[in-house]
Amino acid sequence: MKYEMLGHTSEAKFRAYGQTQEERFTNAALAMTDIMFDVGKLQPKVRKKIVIKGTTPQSLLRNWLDELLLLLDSELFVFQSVQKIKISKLKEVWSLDALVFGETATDSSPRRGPEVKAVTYDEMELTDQFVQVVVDV
Amino acid sequence: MEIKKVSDCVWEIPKSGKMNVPARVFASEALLDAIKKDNTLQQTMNVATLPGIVGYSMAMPDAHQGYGFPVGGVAAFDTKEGVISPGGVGFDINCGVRLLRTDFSDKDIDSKRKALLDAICKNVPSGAGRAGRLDLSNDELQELLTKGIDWAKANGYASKEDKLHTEEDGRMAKADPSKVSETAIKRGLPQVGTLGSGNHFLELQRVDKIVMPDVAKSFGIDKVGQVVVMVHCGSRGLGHQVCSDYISRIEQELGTKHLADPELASALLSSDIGQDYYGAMSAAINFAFTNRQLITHWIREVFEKTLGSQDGMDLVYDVCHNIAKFEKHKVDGKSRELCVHRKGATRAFGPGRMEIPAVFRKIGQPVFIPGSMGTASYLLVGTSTAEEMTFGSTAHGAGRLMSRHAAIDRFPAQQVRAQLKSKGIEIVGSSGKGIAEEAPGAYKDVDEVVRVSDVVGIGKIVARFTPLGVVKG
Repeated sequence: MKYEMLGHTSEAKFRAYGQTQEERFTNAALAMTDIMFDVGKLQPKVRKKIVIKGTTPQSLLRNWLDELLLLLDSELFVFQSVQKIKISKLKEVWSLDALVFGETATDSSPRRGPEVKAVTYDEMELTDQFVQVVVDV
Repeated sequence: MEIKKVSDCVWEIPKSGKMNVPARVFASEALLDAIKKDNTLQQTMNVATLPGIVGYSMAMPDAHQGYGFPVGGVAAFDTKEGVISPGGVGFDINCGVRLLRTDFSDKDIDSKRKALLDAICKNVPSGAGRAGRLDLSNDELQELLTKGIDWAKANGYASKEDKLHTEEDGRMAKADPSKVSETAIKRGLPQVGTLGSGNHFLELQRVDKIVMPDVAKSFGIDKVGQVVVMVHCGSRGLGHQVCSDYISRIEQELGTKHLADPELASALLSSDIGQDYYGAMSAAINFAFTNRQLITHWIREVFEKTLGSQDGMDLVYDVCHNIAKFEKHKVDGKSRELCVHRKGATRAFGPGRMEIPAVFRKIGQPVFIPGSMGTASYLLVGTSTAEEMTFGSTAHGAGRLMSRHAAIDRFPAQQVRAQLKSKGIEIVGSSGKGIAEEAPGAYKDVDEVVRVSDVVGIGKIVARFTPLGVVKG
């Protein structure tokens, strides 16, 4: 299982699994997209390079998901998959470098739920098995 | 935790631990049972630990768990010793509701109802990843953020009356776009004049019942069967990003380890961060006012094209749900300026307040409580009792009862659609999953929420509306 949705009264909460931090971050991006679009029906038509930093693994995760929301709102880019992703730590700064695929949203894009407004730190958990995130919808 | 009954539908959680003030919950026993099922009460108590909080940390009848502050939370802070909290306003800054009256009756529009909804759906962009119709430059957006509805008025999207019938006259005076990040601007630029999705909607409704005919008449509601239009949306990605940015900045500069919950991140009102957030939040508030105004303009155009006229389509009022504002309130007999946070709560000022439009000043302000999809919505009037008990606040909606995830399992979209159809309600523009998530059964009973507001006296029922058609994002 790549990810699962969990109950939260007002927001959406998910756990994304993986062997490595990179895999868990990738699956978290998929889970977030899945709230808004039918991931299985999206096409890898456009490629984007993403470079993100954070002061903690938590802020790196939030900034990564936030960047995908920014790309959606500002360029209508819908994340579909990861081609390459690398997470590293230099001194006290965490970095994420990724090449991602997706498509530009149109009227006929496979929308299926509410848009995600923001990524929160509420109930955020990072373990060796999963990352857990609550997003505001 | 200890909960004491104060009076009918009023509960108090006494001070304990680090709480600076007690907490108060306004709910019937049935609603309190629902509220107890998630973390709402703990969150209400956590808010009471923030510096400079005055009176009580409060939860309105529709309260449910949020992040940091509960949704349905009201808290007022001293302007010197108190804080301002981005999480206490919420991600969707100035999410709000406006009501347009019309001269049409439900019979007038019956045969054109579907055409109206389809045309509105086409004219008002909604849903995730869908851009608005305006192609604004960065400079134009800066001007919009500074001027709010005055920008809409200058560009032919608003009348003078529209402006006067919006909270704050549609313009926060101290909006400071220079405190809004480039990222927030980037998210906001393509989204001016878009509805969004989730619980945001646009609804054609009919007046089902009038409880206070004189008050209703002053608000432009004169007969059963009259068609009204309700619009519910906010500041879109721009507002969400302002909230995220300032939570991060507070976390970096002030830390959150001393807080009961990191999402309670807050800064002294008098500090640089506090002032910067207020300026940025005010700009986002102006974005939302303008957003709802543009949508109103396009709805009027659709009525004109489809039914031949937009005469009488006056704005009744526009109210904010997620906001922090400076207001004067009586505390222990003395008038004090406070920063009132309403997160998922509506201002409900009674007669005499200078903040409400002159035409309503003898009556009190109109308050709109939208129901969940397919259920009734209400028009209320604000009261002096609300000013005494809740810093002039009441509920903002039905309030969620179960998670979106649980709702999808429980209410298949097709079944929900069929149920709405059998009630004569058309629904357009939404995905299947969106319909299931917003199923009426996933929400608390709006009738009960409004009844509590009326019993406690913090917002009196004026009229009830039932839906004819819904446009969902």
